Amino acid sequence: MSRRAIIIIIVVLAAAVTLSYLWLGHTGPTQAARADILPVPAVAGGEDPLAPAAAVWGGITPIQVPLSGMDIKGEWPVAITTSLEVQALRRGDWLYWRVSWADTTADSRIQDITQFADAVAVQVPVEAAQRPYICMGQGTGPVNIIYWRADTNQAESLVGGAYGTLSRYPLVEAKGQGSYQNGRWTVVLARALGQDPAWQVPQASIAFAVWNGADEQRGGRKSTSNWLTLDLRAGGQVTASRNEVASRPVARSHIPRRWR
Amino acid sequence: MSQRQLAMVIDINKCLGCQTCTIADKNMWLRGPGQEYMCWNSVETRPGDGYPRRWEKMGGGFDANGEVQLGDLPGVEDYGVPWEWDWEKLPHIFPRPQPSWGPNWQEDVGEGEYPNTWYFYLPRPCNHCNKPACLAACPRQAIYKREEDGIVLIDQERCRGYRYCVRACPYKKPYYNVQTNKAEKCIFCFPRVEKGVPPACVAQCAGRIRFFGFMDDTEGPVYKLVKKFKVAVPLHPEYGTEPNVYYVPPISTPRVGNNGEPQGQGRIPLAYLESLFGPSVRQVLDTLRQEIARARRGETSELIQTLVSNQRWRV
Repeated sequence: MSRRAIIIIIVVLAAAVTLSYLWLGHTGPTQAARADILPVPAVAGGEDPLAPAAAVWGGITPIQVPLSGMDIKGEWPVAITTSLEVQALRRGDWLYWRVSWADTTADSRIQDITQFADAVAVQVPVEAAQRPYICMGQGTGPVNIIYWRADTNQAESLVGGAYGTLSRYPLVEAKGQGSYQNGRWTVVLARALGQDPAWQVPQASIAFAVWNGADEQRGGRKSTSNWLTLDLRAGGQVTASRNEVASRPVARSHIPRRWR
Repeated sequence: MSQRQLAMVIDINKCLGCQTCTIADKNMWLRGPGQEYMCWNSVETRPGDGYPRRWEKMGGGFDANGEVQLGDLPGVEDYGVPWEWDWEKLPHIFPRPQPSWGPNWQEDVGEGEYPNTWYFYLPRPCNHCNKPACLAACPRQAIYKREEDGIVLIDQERCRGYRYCVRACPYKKPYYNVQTNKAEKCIFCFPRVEKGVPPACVAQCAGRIRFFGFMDDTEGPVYKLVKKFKVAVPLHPEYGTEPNVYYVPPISTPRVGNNGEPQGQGRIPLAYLESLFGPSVRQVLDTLRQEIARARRGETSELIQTLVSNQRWRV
């Protein structure tokens, strides 16, 4: 074989390897389909799904959720997270979501004034039968936000009823745990259902938001999804119809007075 | 605006640069984790880059249309990275990390050629503005201005560490605490004020340069110096926040010739003082000189009596 032929073979092989790498990188390690309905299968026993690497998540099909940039201070995010993948399950009295998204930097420590942490949040209506205004809800339709931030690796339960109203929400317990690997965050968020009568419904609205700390994203500067539908019927634990819930009087004593 | 407003007057002519105010504030409020780098009250040498470094170039405040502006976010190195002393190496101890900036880093550097060098000290607490840019920029409704005394406070329950207040304040007086993930700032010592005691920086001032009280108290020194005699002016009025800390500007030491003879002109360029305190500083300095001359002639000057009095606060 001539020297020229050897060089051509090497170039072709290198090009093939590069192209296949780029193709794999483009499609990503998981290929979730885009969907507007997020099914919530019921899971009994087994290990705690709070660990992002818990085996139980391997059996649950993720959906892909597109995101777009959002801001309320006139400074649009530059590094928009374009989509995330999400899985959901119900185990006992808890709802779990495993959310995963690409981020080139893990901003998990705030050591300087100029640093911001990566974060993710799940937003659901306080009363599951409602579909409030997507941006932090409204006074007559508050939203419950389960917010996880990378520097604390913990979740907070929050309630909001308009811009600037977000407050702690001790009525709903929340848990969260995340890990960063191979350029992706994988975070499990959990919300207690308990005996919450407002959440005995077949379906509820749900939305997601991601903050990229490297882009100084915090507050309104973030990437958000539209409302999706959380399908709770898979577990077969529906105990009340939508109409029954809607006719129930609403207790708002836990909502801050200033925007009740 | 609030119904009543507490305000402070700082007579720069009497400032020793001793930092007793800074330390009084630091001892009282700034001993917690994450507060190491903070001086809610700072005293910087002017001319100079100040604290945080080049704060006047960072933007913030309101534009001509009244829109709040988001300026730059300073890093810890712009305030000065807090250092520890290497006590185990006594007697030759060194600060670690190696300091590169800090409060009053350019102490007494000043400007000018000997013998006509000049500088002065500029003490800077929060201005508790009538139009606080920090409040306007906060999307959390975490900052509020008290109706009863106009003190501007950051609600530590509502703050979520977004730092828009730090960016919007043109004086860079809100400080971000990396440990608590919240912003904090000078509180005009409101727990003291509520008990009739002036803020620590006022009470402890060795040079007795600070006056404190309600702006509508016509018998108080603040009203007299700001409204009656009109010799106290705010810092950078062009920022549009309407500060409630006022300064009696420095009367310049005269320039001297080679043999030490006074040459009439002041050493501090008037343009420099105008760049800090606005165009009214010219009139203020004229008034001060006239009243000093009157007092020297043995006549009564209520203005000079107010400035040298130890009746410095009424709260």
